[in-house]
Amino acid sequence: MNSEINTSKKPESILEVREYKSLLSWLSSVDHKQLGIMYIATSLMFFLAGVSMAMIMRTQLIKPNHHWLSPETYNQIFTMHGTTMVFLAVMPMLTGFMVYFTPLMIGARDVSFPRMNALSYWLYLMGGLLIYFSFFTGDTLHMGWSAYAPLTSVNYSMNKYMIGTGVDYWIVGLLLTGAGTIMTAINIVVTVADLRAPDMKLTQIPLFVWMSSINALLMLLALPALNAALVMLFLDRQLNALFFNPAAGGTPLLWEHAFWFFGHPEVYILILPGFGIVSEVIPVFSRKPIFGYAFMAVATVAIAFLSFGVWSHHMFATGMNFTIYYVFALSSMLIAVPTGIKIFNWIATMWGGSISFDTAMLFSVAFIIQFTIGGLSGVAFATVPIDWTLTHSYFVVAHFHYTLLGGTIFTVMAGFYYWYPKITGRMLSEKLGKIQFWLMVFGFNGTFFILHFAGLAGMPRRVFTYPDLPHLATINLISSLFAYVLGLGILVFFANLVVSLFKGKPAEDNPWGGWTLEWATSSPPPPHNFDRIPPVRSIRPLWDLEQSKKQPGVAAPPSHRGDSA
Amino acid sequence: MDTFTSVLKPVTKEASDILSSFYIVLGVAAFIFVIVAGLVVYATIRFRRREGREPKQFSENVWLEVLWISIPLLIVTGLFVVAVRIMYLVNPPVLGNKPDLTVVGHQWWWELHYPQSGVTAANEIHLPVGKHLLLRFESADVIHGFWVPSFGQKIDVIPGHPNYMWMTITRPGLYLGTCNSFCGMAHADMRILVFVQSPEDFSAWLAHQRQPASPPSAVGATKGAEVFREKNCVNCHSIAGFMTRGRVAPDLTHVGSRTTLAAGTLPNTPENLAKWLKNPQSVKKGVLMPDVGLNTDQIKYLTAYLEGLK
Repeated sequence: MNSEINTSKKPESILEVREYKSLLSWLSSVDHKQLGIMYIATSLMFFLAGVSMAMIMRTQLIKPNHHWLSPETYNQIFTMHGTTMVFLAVMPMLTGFMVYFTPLMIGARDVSFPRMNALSYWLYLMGGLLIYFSFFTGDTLHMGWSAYAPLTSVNYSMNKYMIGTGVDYWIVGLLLTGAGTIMTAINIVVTVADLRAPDMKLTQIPLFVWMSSINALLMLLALPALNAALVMLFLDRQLNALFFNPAAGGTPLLWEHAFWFFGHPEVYILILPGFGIVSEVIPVFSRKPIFGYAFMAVATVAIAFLSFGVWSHHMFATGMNFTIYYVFALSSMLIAVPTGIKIFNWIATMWGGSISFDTAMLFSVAFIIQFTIGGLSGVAFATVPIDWTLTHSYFVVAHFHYTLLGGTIFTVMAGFYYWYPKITGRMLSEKLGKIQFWLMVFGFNGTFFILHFAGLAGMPRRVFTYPDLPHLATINLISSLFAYVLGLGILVFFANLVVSLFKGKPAEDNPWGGWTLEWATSSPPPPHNFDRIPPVRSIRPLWDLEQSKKQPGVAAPPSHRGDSA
Repeated sequence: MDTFTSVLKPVTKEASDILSSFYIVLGVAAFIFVIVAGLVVYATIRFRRREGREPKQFSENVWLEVLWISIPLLIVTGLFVVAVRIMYLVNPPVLGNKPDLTVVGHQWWWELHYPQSGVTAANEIHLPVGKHLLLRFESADVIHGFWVPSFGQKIDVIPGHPNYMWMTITRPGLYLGTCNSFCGMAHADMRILVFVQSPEDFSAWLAHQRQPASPPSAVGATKGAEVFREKNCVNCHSIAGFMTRGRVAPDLTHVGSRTTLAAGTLPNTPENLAKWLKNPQSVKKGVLMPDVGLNTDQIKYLTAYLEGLK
């Protein structure tokens, strides 16, 4: 460090960074770190809204023939819960991590297009608010997040007095966030291609960055399909274009195809960065390099490739041609293979290691087991006749919550505990973290494992209440009670985030002994990211540095100036 | 009569076939889960951090990778074969076969046509046991889903895209089902009852349903028929032998013989019918039947008339 130039004290927490102190510095920011934080903070607000709606739903379902909520209210809440969680909470949360850490992990000063990065964020925020604005129009959405035509057409979205406009706000809001997502995708791909530290080869990119770039490619190819479908729906509603109106030669199945052509890659968009986080956390806390790096990277590419050829497995009950079913059943089953590669490589990374069970690692380990359950029920759905029996039932609800909540959200939690010190300069409380972890593990599995049986017992999804048929009352009561435990766990998480920001233990630059470049700068990183970038000789540059220090005879390879990119 | 509601108690040949494939997948999944969870749990215990020992830095083994690529590949290939086999068993091609029953989904009730006998009914399906039946599904408005869990397969009911389903029911009984594809406000109250009868009972039921409605005999019922006509009920509902103009709401020719009202929402008793006629929205929120402003006497007469339509 050059102490003559850098006379001011190094800021201990993000609250003390001079450049980030004014509100204007946030509103006008093009710094990927500030934007990443804004993405994450905004998505956490939407996440809280989505969790609240989930709690309301589980309360409504706590007993049969419950008339606490009207069907109207319940239908809107489950539609908004799905829309919020997929588009406004989980995807932007992952995007936030991608935007914050991609440049840091490859030793770059910022993303390639910082201003476009800011535009993406603001489009996301405005789109999200627009979707929520539909609450104030008096007619929000009651169609499910997949918005099947023709329920979304003008004829079927009327309230008592007039044509509802909620669907229009939903369309425009999603178009805006979709445009933002596409721009972020371009930004990430170009950044990784262009701004890597001078000596970082493609085979030395951290797996989080690998998976984020593949994820960005998925976004780039999938979101336009959704946007096209949304425009068609908008034309249908505003100009009577009849794409989805069967009475005029259109077909509602067209919407399903267009939506799921986006929707299934979307499922992987929602998990790949999570895979990336876990692929960073597990090696560091096991003190071993990731096992099968090349296979992990190739498996990600394989998942991305296959994910564009599986969408019709959402439509096995629509009465299509058997030949179509064969193709999609086979591709859907094949995607289990690269996913299995990842699972086994994570286990092999832990094997023979020296595992430290900090909260980040606990969430990663629980993720492996829970995601396996979600993946296996996914294979059941790829088996067409089983899908014929169980699709649209609570079995599906259990299945995708195992992948998205037990999967993605658990990886995100691992990410928070792993990277919060880097972002804020403060450690998250490990004590609260462990309380949160156990509350979430019990709460999550208690809520959702039993819902598999609700599906088998004949409970369809998206119903505001259900008759008192055998088993349903018991199953739903247990599920709802555990949901409150899960909710409590999430509250502990939010409390930890806030309390630790002010009272947390100050974080060292590299509190976990990580090996990737983000740990080579201070916590929080200075606005310009790096003073010096260590040389990159493998996927673990800081490990190499450590080793060369242990052998005094060998001179360390030269580092680079931080702004050399 | 036994009542069935669960996927795990199949009562059609097709449902049993599907359930057998479910158990195969369940077995395979349980096996894989035990391996994965076992390895994870073992690793977390065995390789806990102990002081002062840096682990060996190995990170590659191509043969291990080949192992956990090829075994899952073999497993999914096997499952695919299972899937294809069951698909053909359950749903052979329709070819030129005529359906035994056509089900038309409406917001939020089911219209039923037995094309071979010309019978029209609503919400409560009667089917004979032991026959290889073909059902056809159409929708009058949005996408619905036909699901009777004990019958195994469910099918989307899509406007402009008729679908078919084969079934051979093996046990008489009452089977409860529901719409399972979200179709709007009253989706949860769009239920299905299937009465599976012996072929003789089924033929008797069909013969009875084919009769036009019996003319009202009691004084109240005659007045009820007047109310039915004057209050424009006829614009939506049909009663064979009386007025058959209405097409958009359930056929009421034999409404008195049904066990439930409003697509399985509540049991068919005179009290419930009166409650329903008084304020449909309070019974089934969202229902498209308007409140036509009946007074207490009119409700009494109408109830008497409709309950008499056995």
